[in-house]
Amino acid sequence: MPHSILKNALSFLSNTSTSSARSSEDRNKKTALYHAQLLQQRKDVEALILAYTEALLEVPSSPAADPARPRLQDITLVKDSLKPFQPSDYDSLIEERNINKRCGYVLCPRPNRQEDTKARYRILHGKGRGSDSLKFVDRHTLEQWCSDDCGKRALYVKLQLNEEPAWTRVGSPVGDILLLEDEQNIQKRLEYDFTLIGELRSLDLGLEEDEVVARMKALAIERGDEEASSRSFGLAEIDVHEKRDIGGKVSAPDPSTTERNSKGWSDSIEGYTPRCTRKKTRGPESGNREDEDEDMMPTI
Amino acid sequence: MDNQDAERAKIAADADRELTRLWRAWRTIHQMCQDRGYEIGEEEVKISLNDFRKDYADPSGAPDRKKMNTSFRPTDAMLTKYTALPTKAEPHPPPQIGTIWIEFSSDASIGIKQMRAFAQHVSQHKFYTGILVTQASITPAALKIIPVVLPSIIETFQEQDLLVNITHHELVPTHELLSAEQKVELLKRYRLKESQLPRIQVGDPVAKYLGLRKGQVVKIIRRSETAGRYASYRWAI
Repeated sequence: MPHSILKNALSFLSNTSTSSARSSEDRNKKTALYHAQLLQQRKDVEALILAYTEALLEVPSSPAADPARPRLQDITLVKDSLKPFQPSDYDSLIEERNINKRCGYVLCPRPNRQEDTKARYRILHGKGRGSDSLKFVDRHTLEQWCSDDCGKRALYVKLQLNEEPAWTRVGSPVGDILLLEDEQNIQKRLEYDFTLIGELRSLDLGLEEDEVVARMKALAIERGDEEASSRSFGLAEIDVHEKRDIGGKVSAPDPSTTERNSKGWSDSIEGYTPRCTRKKTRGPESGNREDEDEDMMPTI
Repeated sequence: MDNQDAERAKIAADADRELTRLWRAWRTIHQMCQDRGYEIGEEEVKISLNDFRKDYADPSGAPDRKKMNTSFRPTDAMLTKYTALPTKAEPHPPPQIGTIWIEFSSDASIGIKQMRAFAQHVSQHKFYTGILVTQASITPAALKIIPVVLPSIIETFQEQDLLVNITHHELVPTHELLSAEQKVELLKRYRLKESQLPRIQVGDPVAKYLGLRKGQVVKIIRRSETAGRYASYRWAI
């Protein structure tokens, strides 16, 4: 039964509505609808994620694709599909790919590693000596990828996924997902810029060192080095100036002149009187039916 | 030479153990279908281990799961039990049950792909219900497919859960599915709404065994020291 909640709520309403006011019936209906819509939205998103997972099982499209230099078409597909994913969804995608004997990294066409044992754990020798260097690793973790490089690439993507489920994400910004290669490209470009600065400095063009750095940065922004700029925290440069041009003398408002309310004290906060009037508390004898209905709202 | 023999003997013993396990799962599945009301002969349910070995083992002695697919038709009694009450709009409602398809999966793990293939097979051959018996647990993503492929119903069991028939345990009381007619009668007699009944989850092991669906009512008959028999009713949710 797909819409069971909605149906139950409606049948519940029709059974009990005979005596109570029509407005409360409407309100209940509205609440039920609201929650049903939330659930439906959640279901839709989950179905979407399932569909994307299925689609990503078949990526990359050609068996000769190179995970270090994926095709542009695949990159856009992966980046778009991964947006609603949570890290746990990504894990299940990796699991599914492994079941189909593929490397867990989405852009890698190679089969995953197979350990020739049925044991649950493997002992790996790391750096150093003695028992400290031994690592006990679950066999399935080893079998997730085709190589350590792909493991790095996949985990790099996983770290950027939003922990918050996609159906509660409404309004929060959607960041673009970067691949490890993107990041490396940015790094390379930055390094290139810095070497350029060094070369310029060695040329001694008569410019001050700071000026060169500033110009290079400006140049980088002008070039549209979007990834680099979007990775900064987006702090705006704000200067605070004292307001000098004030006509006349300024003094604190005199408490005796400010408006007083019925109870004998002022509503103003540091000279500012809030305009939003709160609902007056009602005496117990003054309640009629409709008001009571409205006040019930927050208690439900 | 001795070493090789020992190795071979070990492999054969493993294969035989596997076969025995599957034989038990096979028997449980058949008992289950019989209890639900499908048409099954008594000799099919009580197949002996030797007969099972003859029919379903490959030359090496290991079980061949690919051969172990069957289907059963519902009996007339079952058809009437699963038929909803006639209404004005629909004076002759069709029974909510049909042929069941049982498949023992030979894949070590079940993912989205395997599940899709199974669902495809069930809907393509117009089976009403499909039962997939797996060796390991199914991935969560694959389980999400099950509600999507309605109207065909897919049930999944693990081999290890079918080694014993839980309903034969002395602490498990008899569960009996009520037909639509019986349900209406019950509610009328006790002047209840169905939501006022005690409940049973559809994921309950016995509910899974009987293949209960949401909204059905089971009668549970227990032995009682004082009353002899004590019947209670549960609404499946």
